[in-house]
Amino acid sequence: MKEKKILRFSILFYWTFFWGLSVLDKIIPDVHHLWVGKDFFALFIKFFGSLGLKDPIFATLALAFISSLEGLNFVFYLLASINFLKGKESLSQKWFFRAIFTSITLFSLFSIGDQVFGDRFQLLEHGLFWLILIASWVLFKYISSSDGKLLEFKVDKGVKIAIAIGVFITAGASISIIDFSSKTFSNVSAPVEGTGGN
Amino acid sequence: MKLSFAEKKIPTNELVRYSILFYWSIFWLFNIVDKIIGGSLFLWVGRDRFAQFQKFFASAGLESPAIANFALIVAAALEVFAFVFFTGALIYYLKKKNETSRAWFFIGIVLTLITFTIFSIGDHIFGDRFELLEHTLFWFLTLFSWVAFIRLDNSSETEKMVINKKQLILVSVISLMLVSTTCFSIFSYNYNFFSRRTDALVAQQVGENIYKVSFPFLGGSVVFEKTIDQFKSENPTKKINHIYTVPKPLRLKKADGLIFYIMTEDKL
Repeated sequence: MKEKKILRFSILFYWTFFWGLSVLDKIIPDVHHLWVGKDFFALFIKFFGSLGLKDPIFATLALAFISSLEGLNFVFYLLASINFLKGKESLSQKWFFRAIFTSITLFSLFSIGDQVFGDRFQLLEHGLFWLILIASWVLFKYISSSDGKLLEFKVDKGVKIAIAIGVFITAGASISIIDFSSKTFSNVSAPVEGTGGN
Repeated sequence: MKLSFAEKKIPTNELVRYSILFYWSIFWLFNIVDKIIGGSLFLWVGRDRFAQFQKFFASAGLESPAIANFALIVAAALEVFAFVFFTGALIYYLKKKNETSRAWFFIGIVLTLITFTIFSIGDHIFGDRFELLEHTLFWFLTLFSWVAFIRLDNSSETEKMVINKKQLILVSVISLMLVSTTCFSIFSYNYNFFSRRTDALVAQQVGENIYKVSFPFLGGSVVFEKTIDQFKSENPTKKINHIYTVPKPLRLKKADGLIFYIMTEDKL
């Protein structure tokens, strides 16, 4: 398999899952068994409440609008991934561009919201995601033909030694993790002891 | 064994490529050490990943420690193999076997991308948006490292690390002055003010039976304990009712350390 193809697939896979799970998080609004997620409804209610718009209809409408855009965005990524897996790279690139464009539009909207609601940390977070999306597109499109080399990896003596070392360290780490877990798991429910004083 | 470091002048491109390989090797090595140690020890604080994983899975309804253990072992295995392949790439690069080094580095990159992708999926499930940002940034850094590594190989850059003598002397003098000034300031501050870490504070009366205590930045829990102790001995006729900390939004960001109020009543 070509190195370029592996990297392109990694980029598509990451963003497809990113948006797929973001949409799922909107569909599952609360905490459930096997899903914690983030309560965006509560967040939007607080944001709009801080603006003086206490009626939940505003937060609901805004969340529905954003979620719809995210859903559309996810479909674009999904189509890009499916076309990529079918070997239709040109078509995949077109869908990926549409997806990236929708994503940066979404993060631009989020950033405007962060400014309005005065959440500077989220502004930084969304600004960074926006930058990474643009950079992902640049990397996806311009991974040059020099990266189109076939992955040449011979299972020689060096690789066998590496695998042996890896298995050895993993076994050591696993023993340590299980040992630490058995010693500290009781702290989950153990009462805290006070230290002495006057 | 011919090591490329043995040459006197290394092109800047090669130095950056070494830096990339070294960074990722060290990055994963310390992550593995952190997993092996588990908790805090003398000279190692690290992060208690078991507690973090346990809390994550418990929040999703999976309370058994076996699940957190299993997830932690899978993460550790991915990190171990990423470390082994990055270190292998570094060793081959030192031996000037550039093509083999590239292949090993690529496997390390793919393992790292898989690791951060799995972590990001976990962040979505467990609702940790800050870690999602952190892992996405690392995911991107991994991709960028690969592209930078490849580009530096293709580049015809042959610039050597040579600085002329005059500039070298100037830089040395200015650096020495700045370093001396900074060190003097740091040692002086340590000598004069380190006692703030443990000294008791004076409670300032701001109202009837209300006393204010402002913490210095250096203050730790000992300051709190000593301050309460001192307050009690200085005010034997008073009985402490409540201690309130000033709500965070009322503090002037970093300009204020911790402020607390002692509410008292007269002893009968």
